[in-house]
Amino acid sequence: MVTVTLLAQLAYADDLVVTLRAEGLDGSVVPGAVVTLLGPGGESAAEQVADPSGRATLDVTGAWHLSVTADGFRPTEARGTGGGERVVWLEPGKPAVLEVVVEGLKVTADATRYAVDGEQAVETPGTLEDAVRLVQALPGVTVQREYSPSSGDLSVRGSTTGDSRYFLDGIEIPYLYHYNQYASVFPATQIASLELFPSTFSARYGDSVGAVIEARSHEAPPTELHGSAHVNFVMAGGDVTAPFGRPGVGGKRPWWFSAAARRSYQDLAGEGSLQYPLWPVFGDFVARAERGNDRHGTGVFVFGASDRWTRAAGELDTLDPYEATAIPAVDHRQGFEGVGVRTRSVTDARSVRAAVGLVHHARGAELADLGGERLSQWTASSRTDATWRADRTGFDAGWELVARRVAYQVDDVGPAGLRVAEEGPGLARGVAVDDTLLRAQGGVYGTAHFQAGDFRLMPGVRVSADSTAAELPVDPRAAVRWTLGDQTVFKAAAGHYSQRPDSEQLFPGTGDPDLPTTKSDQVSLGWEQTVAGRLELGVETYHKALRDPLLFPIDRPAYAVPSGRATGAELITRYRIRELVFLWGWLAVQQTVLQDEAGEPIPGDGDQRLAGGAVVSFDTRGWNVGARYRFASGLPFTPLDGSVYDAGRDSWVPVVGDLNSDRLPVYHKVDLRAAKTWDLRGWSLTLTTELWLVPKSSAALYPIWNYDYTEQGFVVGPTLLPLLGARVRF
Amino acid sequence: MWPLLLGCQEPFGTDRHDLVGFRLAAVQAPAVAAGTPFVPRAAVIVDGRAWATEPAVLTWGFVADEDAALEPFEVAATGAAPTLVAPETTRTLVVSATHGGVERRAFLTLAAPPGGVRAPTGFDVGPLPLPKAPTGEQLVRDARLALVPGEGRAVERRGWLRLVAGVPEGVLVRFMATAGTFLELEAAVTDWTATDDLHLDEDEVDDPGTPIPRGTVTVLALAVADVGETAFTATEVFVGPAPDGVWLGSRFVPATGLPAFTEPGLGVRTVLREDAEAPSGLRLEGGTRVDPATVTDWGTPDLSCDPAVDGPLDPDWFLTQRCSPAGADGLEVVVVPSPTPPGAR
Repeated sequence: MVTVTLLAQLAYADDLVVTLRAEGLDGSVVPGAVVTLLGPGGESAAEQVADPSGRATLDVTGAWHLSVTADGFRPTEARGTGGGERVVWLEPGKPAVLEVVVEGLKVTADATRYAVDGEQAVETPGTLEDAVRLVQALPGVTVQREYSPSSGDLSVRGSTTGDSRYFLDGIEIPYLYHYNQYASVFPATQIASLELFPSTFSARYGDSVGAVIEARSHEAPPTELHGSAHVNFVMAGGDVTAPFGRPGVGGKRPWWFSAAARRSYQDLAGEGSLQYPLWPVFGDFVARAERGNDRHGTGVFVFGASDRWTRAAGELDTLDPYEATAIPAVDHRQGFEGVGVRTRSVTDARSVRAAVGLVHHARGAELADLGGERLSQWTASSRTDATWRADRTGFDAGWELVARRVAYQVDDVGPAGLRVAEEGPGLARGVAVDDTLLRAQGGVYGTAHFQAGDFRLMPGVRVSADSTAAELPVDPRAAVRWTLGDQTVFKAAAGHYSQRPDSEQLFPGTGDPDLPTTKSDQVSLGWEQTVAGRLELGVETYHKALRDPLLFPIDRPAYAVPSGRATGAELITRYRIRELVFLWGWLAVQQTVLQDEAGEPIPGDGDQRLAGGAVVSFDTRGWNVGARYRFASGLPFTPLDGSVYDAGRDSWVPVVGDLNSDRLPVYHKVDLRAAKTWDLRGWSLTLTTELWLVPKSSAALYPIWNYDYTEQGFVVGPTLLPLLGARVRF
Repeated sequence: MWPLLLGCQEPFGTDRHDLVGFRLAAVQAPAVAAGTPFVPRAAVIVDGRAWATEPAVLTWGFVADEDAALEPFEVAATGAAPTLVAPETTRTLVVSATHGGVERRAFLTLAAPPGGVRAPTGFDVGPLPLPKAPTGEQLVRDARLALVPGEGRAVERRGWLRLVAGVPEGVLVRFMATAGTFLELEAAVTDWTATDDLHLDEDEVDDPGTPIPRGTVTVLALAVADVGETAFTATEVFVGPAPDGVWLGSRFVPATGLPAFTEPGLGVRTVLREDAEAPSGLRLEGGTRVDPATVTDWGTPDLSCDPAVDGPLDPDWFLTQRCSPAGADGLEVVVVPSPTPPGAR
């Protein structure tokens, strides 16, 4: 409950209208907050409860002093002089790992937008409190087998990993997950919102025929120092947030900073093995200084992530001792560092957000004395997104500019390159490259909003340019929403999308500078239903027609096939009573088929016909217990059809079978979680234990073949994994 | 924790050491200049044996590169030991072996002269003082290399042998056998145990495997120098007591009732008996000494061979599918035995 103080001066009484808003991206109002006007001695002079619009009106004279309390928020105070309208920002009662973004509240021109919710992110078993890991449990996202090299691949609605783009505060980052997806590449505690746009997204995003993931870090300033430290079976880290600068009106300091860092520690805990002379080691960091609040502010930030490991370029268990000494080790390093500036100006009627950044991405794979692969990419980018809203109309507009310098060196290391394709894809192609690519890309877009009764029509267009192609793709897109009451929405969208190949695929030798632009025509239909404000239901169907989709064979450059299509439907449901229970489940069916030059159908890499899952989580008396179950039909892979014996090398050359004509077994996984939080004076301690279970029949990670490729088996992952974690918050 | 998370590979029942099923195990051809005739040969395993009642059909050809070796090719010759002429450009030699409707294919890029890799000239073989179920340090390469082998080619089930192939320094030898498990330790040195499917995980026994039955095991040693330069030699080792028999070069042929060996170079006229357990599908029975210099009828031309053979019996004719033991029962041939198989030095 709330107490407010007003230092009342009896003459010249004015109306003071206070709007209580929650700090967070959407700045939602806080109905029920208690506003107390304090007297000179701190006593209560008047008290009002905020109405459903989050407003409380008090009579004040001259200088005033308010105290505000509300369930779930930290008590706060505000001072001022005279009447009028004021906004008081309330900070959530405990430092939020991720703010809640309820789908459907924000109307954008994106037909489909899945938002990762803070409660989901922290309490869904199997996520290790990492919101970005949860992305792969969203409808439409291919369920990957955890612990496998492909577990970090993001395939959405049949797209391939390279079809999607990832943004952090408006700046594109080169990859999303650390080694085998054990963690995402940025500390989840810094993220305020995380949204996935699986297809038919608005003209705001370009150069993608797949999905877009947009993460935005906290924008609301803290009122005091707080932070946390955590350790789990993979990483340890911490974060801290604090205001600084001379206090202004209301005692708020104009500046604040936030920093977080994480690092895996297995390499510190023990020596590597013969197979992994250097255990995978990875870490990430982000630090920012911001001025303003979540509506008007500017911040500068730096961020980075790194991965490194060294492994023998072969399965030592299957090799003879002498072979094991002769086989080279591959030393793999990958990482990025970036610096950016973001600024925002948001009102109820308009918003402008801009970001400019410089990111360096480096990736290397060295095969002892044989040589290696080195990629160094500098990317300078800038994007500006503006929105304007009136009662029945609105307009979105913006642009994106990107300049890249990509230096790529690949040595011809011979057949050994095929064994390290994961770390050095260029090495597997057996061609030497030493080249530099300068590239400029840009896009400009506009989207209009028209409201007519219950209908909202949002047509838009995006025009793109890329220095690697003499073309100017014009991508028209449109979305329509039909809102029935405040609980039912029907939506439809269609659009044209285009994407140029990744720079790395354009180098002659390991790539092909003449690769075409992939184009996609996409449509989607959806229905959203909310029941009693707690139960959410959603159904989405989609179809994507592709022209010139790319295939990525291991041993030769990527190439385009004439066409492809992806069709599917997704069902999602969620029920929650905040901070007590949440349940959610989803089911997705889809088919992704490409067609080769002969018109023969080829299952796409992301052709997962059926996937689904269910999560239940309870909170009670400091305990959280939960369970998650996921299942997915097996993804396709290309079998090998025997081999030819290379007698001169005493080795075998596999005969590749029909593309993607075989499949992994069905995947099932159960995650159980129990956590206990002790709230102590000014800080809290949470201990977490998780148990991950994978049936033996689902433990296959990826196919392998015997020495002459006549027998196929699987590398299998663990079937049972107990985990512990701890987090301290203050 | 990482070892828990990293996937592990399900072991396969066979590896490159195992001469099982139908397999083109090795191919050799000399380093030849364009236009020069040469005779290639291939070691072919049929039904896990170094011989076949119905030999595999071999066809040979030349293609431009290894990619073309996967495609249908123009046949230049057929048979186990054809005389081919090295082409100038299409120097990738392809051989296809067909048996029972199954094809196995291999290719070899012909080396240019001088070349000169040669097959292992012999082997030093001796039992190791390892226990039947070595553990820990005994499984580590350096510790194993420090062991001093004894004398003889016979070992008990689950026992261990050391084999050293006679090749010039720097030549890699890859060992294969019809049974047992190899652990190659150096370029031309291997340990072998009379256990099938033994599987190690670094210095631990992951799967103790199955002891192999008593009998004779054929070992094939393939010397690999530069690409295209390969040559092979076969020999035998024994699980349990060595049976009676003779050594014809590095190959063992079981024999009963042969006259005692008196001096090198002497021959024996003997009778062939089909024996499915014998390394070459044949054993020798009885016989009389002969001076090879006086022999005019070796008996071997009457073997079922393509192309026909002549001269003292050579067990490698069966390994290369040139000859079949079928129909050889009762045939009288001359052999020129050695008191011991040739050593590595």
